[in-house]
Amino acid sequence: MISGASLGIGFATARRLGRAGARISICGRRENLLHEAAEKLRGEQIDVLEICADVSKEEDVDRWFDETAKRFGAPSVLVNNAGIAGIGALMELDEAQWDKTMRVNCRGAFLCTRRAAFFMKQADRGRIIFISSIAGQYYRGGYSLYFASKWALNGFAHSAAKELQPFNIHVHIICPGMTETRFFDAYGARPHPAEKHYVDPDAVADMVERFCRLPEGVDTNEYSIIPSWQLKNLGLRR
Amino acid sequence: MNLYLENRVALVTGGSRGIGRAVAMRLARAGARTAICARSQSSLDDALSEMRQISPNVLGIAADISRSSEVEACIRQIKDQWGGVDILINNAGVYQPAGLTETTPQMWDAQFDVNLKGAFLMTRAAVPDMIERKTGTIIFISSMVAVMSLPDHSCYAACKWGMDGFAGCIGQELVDHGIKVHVIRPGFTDTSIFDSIGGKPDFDVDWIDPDEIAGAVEFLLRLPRHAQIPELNYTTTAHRKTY
Repeated sequence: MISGASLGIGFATARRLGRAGARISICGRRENLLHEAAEKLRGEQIDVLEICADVSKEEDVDRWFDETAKRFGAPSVLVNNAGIAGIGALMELDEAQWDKTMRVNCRGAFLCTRRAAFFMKQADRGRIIFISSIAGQYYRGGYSLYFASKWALNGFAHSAAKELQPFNIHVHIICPGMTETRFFDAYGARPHPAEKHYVDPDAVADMVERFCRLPEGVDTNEYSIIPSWQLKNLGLRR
Repeated sequence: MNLYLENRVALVTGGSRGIGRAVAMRLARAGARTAICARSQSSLDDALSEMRQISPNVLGIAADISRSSEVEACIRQIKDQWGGVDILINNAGVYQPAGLTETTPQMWDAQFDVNLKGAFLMTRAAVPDMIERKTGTIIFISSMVAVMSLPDHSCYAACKWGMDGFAGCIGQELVDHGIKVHVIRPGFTDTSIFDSIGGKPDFDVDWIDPDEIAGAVEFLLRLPRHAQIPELNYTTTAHRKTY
């Protein structure tokens, strides 16, 4: 199950895991884009179910999980990928923007993880992968909302990892840096136009696949994947 | 009376109980004009009656800090009475630990609304006056949970990690305006925050007195202007082994 899979990292992940033989359930908010993505996957003989759903809404998440379980059975892998930007200096942010970003980036991941954990606890196995961001690993003025949402997501994911480990549920966190996706539509332009090299979404999807193939008894927790020029932003804290 | 705190205008969110109340008492004692806000009028009255024994310059405002209209009204009321806020203590917190599958969306929202969004709204409302006067201090009462991860705290940890991320970013953003941002992370502190789980857990630790954290707040507020202590972890001997 991959959330926010119409485009970008989510779509690349669905394609990778589908090509590897997994049955794929994707969700997204925009029906047209979601349907297009599903058709592309079907074109590669991937068995795919697409459900138009907003992960920040409980009833949508429930419907996505119920429909998926009906079609494919209990999920063995959840990729919490859906996320939105929320960029602006403190005084430019308003309450609605705060709510929207926190609801999708944090509450959405919580709702999906919670539903997945119900299934995976019963199965005594499972894997939950968070597509977070290096925005959850350092600080930057002018980005307080987006960064807060990713710090919060990482705090949630790390705690869930410890809590779910006894149930043989593995939790991994991937923190991409600047990635070549439609994410930057929200900025109006790429924030670093001079930098030629951004991470290919398929490189992130490749990491997801590798994590899914980890042998029993082996774990990873937090991984960063960034364009080399962004190395200066890593590890400023913790 | 201290040079740095006398007559300065302070606001402590969640100031009627626990760490917030201890901080408000310290600030009032140091001569600051001290406002506290909380949701419950009765707990405000209780704290105010204690504060008034120390200082006449105290104010209690009933407000739900997760609503921007109430936050803005709170800041306006203080401004009308004393002028803009010099010192903001983002202290209010809701603590509802639970296993992931037992955490309801309502519990998630209740904690995120107060712990994280409330701090954002308060900061946003208080900052314009600070920018105008090129001075101000914002202190976030975070938690040691912000630098740890532990079972049954996934939502609370998310809030506190998020608070750290927010505070770190605005600390960078506001430094050129002469505004200082500090994060204090208390460990096990003996407060009524544990009422939500039927009382203080039976841990074999030396519990921190809320006044110790208030002392740390006062220490930060009395620093020279150039001195930056972005983060201060205040925990106990037993905790030190796991952190």
